[in-house]
Parts: sequence; C-alpha cells; structure tokens
Amino acid sequence: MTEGLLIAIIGAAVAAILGGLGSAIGVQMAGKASAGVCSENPDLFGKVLILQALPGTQGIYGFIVAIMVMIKLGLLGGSPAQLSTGEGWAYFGACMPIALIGLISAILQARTAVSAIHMTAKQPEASAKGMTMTAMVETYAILALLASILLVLGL
Amino acid sequence: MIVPMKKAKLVVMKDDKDELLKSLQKAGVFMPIPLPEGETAGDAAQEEALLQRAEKSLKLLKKFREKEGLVRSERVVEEEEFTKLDPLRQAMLSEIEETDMKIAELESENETLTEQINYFLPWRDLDIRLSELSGTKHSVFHTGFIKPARKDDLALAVLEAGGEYKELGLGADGLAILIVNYVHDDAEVMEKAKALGFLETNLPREERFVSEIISENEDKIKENLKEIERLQAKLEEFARESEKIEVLNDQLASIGALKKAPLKMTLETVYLEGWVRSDQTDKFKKAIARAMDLYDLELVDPSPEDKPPTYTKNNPLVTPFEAITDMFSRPSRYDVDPNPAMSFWFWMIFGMMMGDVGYGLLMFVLFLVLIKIRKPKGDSLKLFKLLLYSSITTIFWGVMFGSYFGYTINPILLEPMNNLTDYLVFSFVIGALHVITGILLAAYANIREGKWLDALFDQLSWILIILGLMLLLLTSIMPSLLGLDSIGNLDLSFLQKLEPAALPLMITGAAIILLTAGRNKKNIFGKVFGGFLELYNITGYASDILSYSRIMALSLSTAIIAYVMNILAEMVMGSFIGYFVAAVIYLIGHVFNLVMGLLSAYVHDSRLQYIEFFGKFYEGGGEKFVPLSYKLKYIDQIQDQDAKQEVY
Repeated sequence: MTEGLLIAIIGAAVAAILGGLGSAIGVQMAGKASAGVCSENPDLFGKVLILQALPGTQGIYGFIVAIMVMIKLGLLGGSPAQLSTGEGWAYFGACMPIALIGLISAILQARTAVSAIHMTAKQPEASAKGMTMTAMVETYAILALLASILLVLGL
Repeated sequence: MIVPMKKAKLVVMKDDKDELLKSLQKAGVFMPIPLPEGETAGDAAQEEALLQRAEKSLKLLKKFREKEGLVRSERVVEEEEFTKLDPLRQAMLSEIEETDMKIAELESENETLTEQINYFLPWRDLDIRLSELSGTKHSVFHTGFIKPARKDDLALAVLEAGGEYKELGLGADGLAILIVNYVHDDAEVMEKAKALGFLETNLPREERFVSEIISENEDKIKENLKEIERLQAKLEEFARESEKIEVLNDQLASIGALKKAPLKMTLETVYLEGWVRSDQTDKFKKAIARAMDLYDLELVDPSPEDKPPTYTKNNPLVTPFEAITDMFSRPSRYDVDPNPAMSFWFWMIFGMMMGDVGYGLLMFVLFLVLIKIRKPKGDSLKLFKLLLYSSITTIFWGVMFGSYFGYTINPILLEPMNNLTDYLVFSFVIGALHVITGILLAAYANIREGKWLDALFDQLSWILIILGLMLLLLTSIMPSLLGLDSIGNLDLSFLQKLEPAALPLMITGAAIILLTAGRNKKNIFGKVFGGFLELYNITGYASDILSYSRIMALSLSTAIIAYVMNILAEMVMGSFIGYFVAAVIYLIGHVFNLVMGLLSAYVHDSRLQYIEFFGKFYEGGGEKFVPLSYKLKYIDQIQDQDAKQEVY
C-alpha cells in the first residue's frame, strides 16, 4: 500500500466518521426533545419522529462519500489504486467538505429540530413548517456533499 | 381552483331555529361566523362534559379491547340512529365509569390492607391478643424495635431486672421486641432500654391476635382481587361494545358543534351570517327550505374588508397534493390556486429524488394495500394517496435512470452514478422550468387583475433572462467547460441552432428591467437605480436554481445506498447460509433505504415548493372553510344521500 492510498483511506474514513458523529449527536439531541414531548402527548409520536430523523442524513452523506472513494480506488473488490502522496492528499481534501460541514450542520440542524419539536408540541398542525425550517439547514450539507462527490469524481 | 365564497345573511323565526340548524348541519354547506354582540345557539356545556366522559371511557376501554385486525371495516351509521340520542348509551357510559371507580376503590383498599399487613408482619408471632398488651396489675408490657446489634444488651438489661424479653420478627425499624416488666422496675429498665435505642411502638389494642389480623387481611385482599377480576371481565364485555360509546362520542361532538353555532337573537327572530361556497348555494337554499317556509335570505359577494375562508376544488388527482400547500399556508381569496401546477412538479421531483423502479413498485403496493385495508380518513388518506401517485413517477424516473433496486439495467436518459455532471445540469434545467412556472403564475395573477404591463415588465423580463441563461449554459458553457454536449443519452445538439438567441434574450430581459423596474419609485433617483436594484435579484434566481442540485444529491444518495446494499449482499452469497444472510441484507437494506429516501424526498420536495416555487407568486394566509356539519371521529359515514360530513 502506498502512502497516498493510506492518506486517501484516512480521508474517506474521516468523512464517514465526522458525518456519522454529527448525525449521532444531532439525532440524540432531537430524540431527547421528542421523548419529552411524547411523555406529555404520545399521539405526536409520528410527527416528532420525522423531525428527529432529519439531522440523521449527514451521516448518510459522509458514508456515501466514503463509499465513492472506495469505489474509485478499487477498494471494494479489484486491486487498490497505487496513489502518489499528492494524489492521496487530493482525495483527503475532497472528503473534507462533507466531513466538516456534515459534522457541524448536523448539530446545528438538530438545534433547529429541537425548536421545531417544541413548536410541534404546542401546535401540532405546525409540524410541516418546522420540517421546512429544519430542512433549510440541511441545504449546506447537501451542497457540501455535492462538492465532495464532484471532487472525488473529478480526481 | 379557489371556489369563490358568498356571504349569506339569514333571518328566521325563533321557533324555527333548531330545525334550521339541524338541517344546515346535515347539509354541511354553511360556515356561520361570530357576529358583534352575538351569542351561540345554545349552551354546549352539558354536551362537552359528557363528551369528555365518553373520551375518557373510550381510553379506558381501549386497554380491554381485543387487538384490532389489520383490515379495518368502514363504519356506516343510519342517519336515524345518529340523530337520536339513545339513553341506553349514556347509561352504559355511567356503568363503565362506575365499574372503573369500583376497581379503583378496591385497588386502593387492597393497598391499605397490604400496608397494614406490612405493619403487623414483625408481630405475627405475638402469642397474646393485642388487647392484653395493656398489662396487668403487676406487669407492664412494652412493644418496640431495637437495632439487631443491640439486642443482646437489651435482653441483658431486661432479664437482669427479672423481666421477660421476647424477640419477634424483623421489621424496617429493626427487630420487634416484646418486653414485660414488673411494675416497680419498669421505669428503670425502660430508661436503660431507651438509652440502648429501643424505639417503643404502641400497637392498636384490638381483641385479636396479630396472626388473625394478617390472615383476615389476606383473605380480604384475595376476595377483592376476585371482585376486581370480575369487574375487569365486565369492562372487557363493555369493550366489545365500545362502538356504542364511539357513536355517542360523535353524536355529542356534533350536538356540541350545533349548539356552539354563532348567531344573534331578537325577541321574535334569529339572525345568522356566514359563508357558503358559490357552487353550493342551491344545496344551501334547499337545506333551508327543508326546515321551514318563512325566512329571509340574502346572498352577497364578500366586500373588500371581508376575510372569506378558502376552499380549493381540484380534480381527484390534484386533491391529495393540496395537503402540501395547506401545511404551508392556505391560499387567500386573492391568490391563484397553486395546487394544479404545484402538484405536477411535486409529483415529478418526488419521482426523480426516489428514482428507482423497485422502490416505486414497493411504494405502489404498500400504499395501495394500506389505503384498501386500513381505510384511512382525512389527512392520512391524502398523504397515502400522494405517495401512491408519486410511486408512478418513481417508476418512470427509475426506468429513465435504469435503476432497479440499485442494479443498473439499460438507462434511457442517464445513469446517476456515472453521469453525475449530466445529472447536475439536468437538475438545474428542471429547477429553471419549475421557477419559470412560478413566475408564469405570478404573471397570470397580474393579468387576471388586468395588469398586463406589470406582467410584461416584472415577470416576462425575468423569464427571458432565465431562458437565455439556461440556453447559454446548455449550448456554450457546458460544452466548453465540461466537455458535455448532451445530458446522458439526450442529445442537445438541436439547441445549437437556438444558441444565437441566448444573448439577445438576456439583454432584452435585462433592458426591460433596467428601464421599468423603478417605475413605481417616487423620486428620479429611485426610478434610475430601481432597475439596477431589481437586476441584482439575479443572484436570488441563481441561488434558487442551484438549490435544485438537491434533486441530484438525494437521487444519488438513494442510488448509492441501494448499490452498497447489493454489494454487501453479493459478498456473503455462495453457501446456503450465505444466500439466507444475503436475503436478510437485501430486505433490511432496501427497506431502510426506501424509508429514509421517502422521508428526504418528502421534506426536500416540499421545501422546493415552499421556498423556490411559492416564493415567486404565492401569498397564502387563507382560512380553512369549516362548515357546520357532523363531527365524525369514529364513524366513517352516515347513511344519507344529502348528508355531507366533515371527517377529522
């Protein structure tokens, strides 16, 4: 294994780790708020569950980029590519948008989700509005995902 | 289409009031509105109290109900049965409450008895009656607790003085002790005992042995438990008939709604004001005529100060998508109904985001079966139908992308995982078309009000710019920058002929904006620079269109996860157990992907409608049209031709 390949793998791993970490923290924050709401009004379970799931997508995005790197480098079957150190760093850099923005946006999105869950507790019919507000934060995770995907494919 | 409303002003004789309201409720076409210094048709306090009791009882009976089967049958109640309150049902309600109360009483009695048992338990082996603890002429009895570690010291102190010492059972406060002292030694011994930590307890002086009390209590508890069981069986029986209470619940809610109808009364007459859909005025008049002969009715168009409620009427394919708009904000009477256009785009974009034939088929079967066997009502029915319809576009785009449960077979348009940039550009094209639709609707709203010039200056100008930009992107930017002259298998060379039009389109649009956008500004400065300011909005339109990249991102994420699940499953295949594990991976992996995909597609598709699409033309802020009607929570339908019900 070349040093370049090692660096690229670390990049892919970091994308999966940070995205997953952000989502785990985010879903946990929103989950606590949901549990609180459900203790008062169990009927709202369906509505708050959707809001709780929203910060969960960044983990998936990080995972997707990691998989794309693996496919691109022939790590899933076939022989791994022999990357130079420079190429390795290029892959590492390509993974960074979703790794960093995934981590941060998941946590920030979770804060919005928590507020939206509280809003749903007071006004159940407003849950769709809360969903939209929460999804606004995710826009930047999606843009980061696109940046990472296009970079990985462009390499 | 937004159905125009008519304001109805109705005067009837006081004696006809009840008959009229009943007839109106049955017809369900009239939405009464509160009047200044008005009142309500009656006092609904009694119904509300009863309703609360019915709801509480239903909650209670739910625990005793047998599990509902998967298939739910529709409940149809005859109108005759529904409009008459059956006293037997109220009696049943009281009986349920009584039974529940008795159970609670018995349970609390058992709790008290158990507490008593626990209290007496350490004294169970006391072999004298409790009343005998009062002592005799020569001896004094003491009962109390001591820490087990000190018991030997205590025993010594008592025995030394010639008294009697007996250890009994262990309680929470320590070892239960009986001490018998001679009268004249008593004070001295007890002082020592207290110093050792002896905690004296006075047992009630009953004419019984402790063991008797305990066994009596135990018998009583057993008896109570039997009675509780009998009462619970009774509740189970009631639970089998809980339909009766459910009907009662809907009856009470309906009567309550009737009594809460706002109106105004004079000595002889009653005055009602409210809204009627303009396509239902005949039904409304018929409902009044059915109730009485003598009345005065006036139907007028809403004045500019009025805020009529909104009712949107669309074809059955569009109706489920109205839920998406209503969640954002209902249209006001000045809005263009966004639903027909929005439903088409929601439908299309949803399909693109899911984009897999396998998932589309799964959705189709799943939601069709859910609708058929669960027979949902109201908003859930709309949501299920929306997803059912969207399964068709999911299949359509699945074929276009050649995606079948993540396996690629013969893509017609493009293959998301291999034609990423093509897909990105394609998303932008879809976005531009969606945004242009929004601008066209804004133009339509202007034209409808006769503001032709506004439509030309404010909307057409932007459409020209966006069209020009897209043309430029497809014909020269994309080929030169990305080396693409097609989107997937879609050859774009036919656009080359149009390429010379791109710049003129943009320049014309920009010129219109520069010249006209400041036309409503007061001073000359504003008139000149208003154009530049408006032109600056190009950044807004650009970011709107870039936002559609989420179509490609979500579509890709569904595709990649499906692909990964397939790879994982293929890895373990080979042996018999391998095939089994692979089947599990396929099943769990694809179901997970389908659920997450549905959630993302629903949320982000809605967002594209709310922000990028509605932002161009839609105001909203309308109120829901809620006519006076039967309030049916448990009943699906009331068997009557002209009855119209609000189902919630």
